Amino acid sequence: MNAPQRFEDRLLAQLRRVVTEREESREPTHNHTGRRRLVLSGAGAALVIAIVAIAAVAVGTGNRTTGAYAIQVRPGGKVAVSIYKLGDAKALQRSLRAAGIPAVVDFEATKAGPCVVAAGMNTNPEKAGAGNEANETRHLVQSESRVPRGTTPGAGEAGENAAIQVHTSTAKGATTATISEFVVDPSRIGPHEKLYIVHDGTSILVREVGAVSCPKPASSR
Amino acid sequence: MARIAHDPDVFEVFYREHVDAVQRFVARRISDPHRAADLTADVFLAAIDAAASYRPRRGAPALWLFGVARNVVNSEFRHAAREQQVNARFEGRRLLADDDIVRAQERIDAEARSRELYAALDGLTDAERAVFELSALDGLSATEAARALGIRPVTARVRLHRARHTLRTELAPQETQLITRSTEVSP
Repeated sequence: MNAPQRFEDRLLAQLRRVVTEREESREPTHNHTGRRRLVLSGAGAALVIAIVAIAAVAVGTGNRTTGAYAIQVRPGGKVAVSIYKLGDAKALQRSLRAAGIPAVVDFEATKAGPCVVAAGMNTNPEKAGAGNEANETRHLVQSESRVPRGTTPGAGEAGENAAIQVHTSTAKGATTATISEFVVDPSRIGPHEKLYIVHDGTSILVREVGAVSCPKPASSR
Repeated sequence: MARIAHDPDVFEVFYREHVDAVQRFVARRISDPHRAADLTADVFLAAIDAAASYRPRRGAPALWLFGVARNVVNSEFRHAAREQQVNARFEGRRLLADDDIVRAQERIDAEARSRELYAALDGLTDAERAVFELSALDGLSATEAARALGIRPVTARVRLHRARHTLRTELAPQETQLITRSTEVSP
């Protein structure tokens, strides 16, 4: 048997070995690969629950799309979230968690005093301004609860290195107006952090908070 | 597609079909053959990792792979910690022989103009740049670029329009010509 002659052949041989080893060691490990596989199957299960729970007609054939929201796991592991209407906070929370995002979703945050604090702007009380990207609120974004007709793509976008990127936009051809649309990178959410998605009465706030206790009476777990 | 991550034979078919396109994709952005070899390996490793997330309705595997490739090359440029990439399991450059470097250099030389354009895109926002790159550098239509990036076609078209506008007003006339010519290919 001849040895591979070109870079492309040697690379193929290496990659074949990677695939083979993956297949041989399929027990989940702490690497992203295993996690992603779990995430996807979990998201599929959550989809069934969500569809049964809200009996919404899915847009297109997306298996994580409901009438109220859509969750899409992208190549590379980032998760795109679109919220079309309020309601179904628990279903959204379940689906997000199934997609690997430790989310707390509360669309009635105004009734939950401390949650409003947790979700409000500039209110990371203890360690604000620490500048430690790993532990602290890295990015705070606010998207409008009502997006005007027409398209405003790119409004409010954050850099790609942030854990959350927001794309507030409404497609002309869309059947539903998107209230809020953002992309979350689960790998950038720390072990003790949660992603809070709350509605404060006027807007949806999305925030990633480390070690903030929130009683979340409206949607506990 | 998910099977490329589990079946080496299925992967090989996928690899042989796309390896040239990936190498050219990288050469349009990277001028060092060694880094290009690393990134080519990284792109396929990332594809193996992300294969389960491929959705046929978002477009052909080639488009999906462009999206993956762009993420990989971008994170290289941003120095987004290499260890954060799932993939750095081996270095492609270790597989290069002298002949390979000569061929890689030829490929890289052939894409010199594209890299000039690539370097000129710093004035764009990340979102605009993503669409513009795939359109002007890689020859994708706006719809195809949207699929590769997981965004809506209308969003891609708007970003493309903005990018062209920005570049036309900011770039030297010579580069503007190139941009106009390149992007007119796309419907």
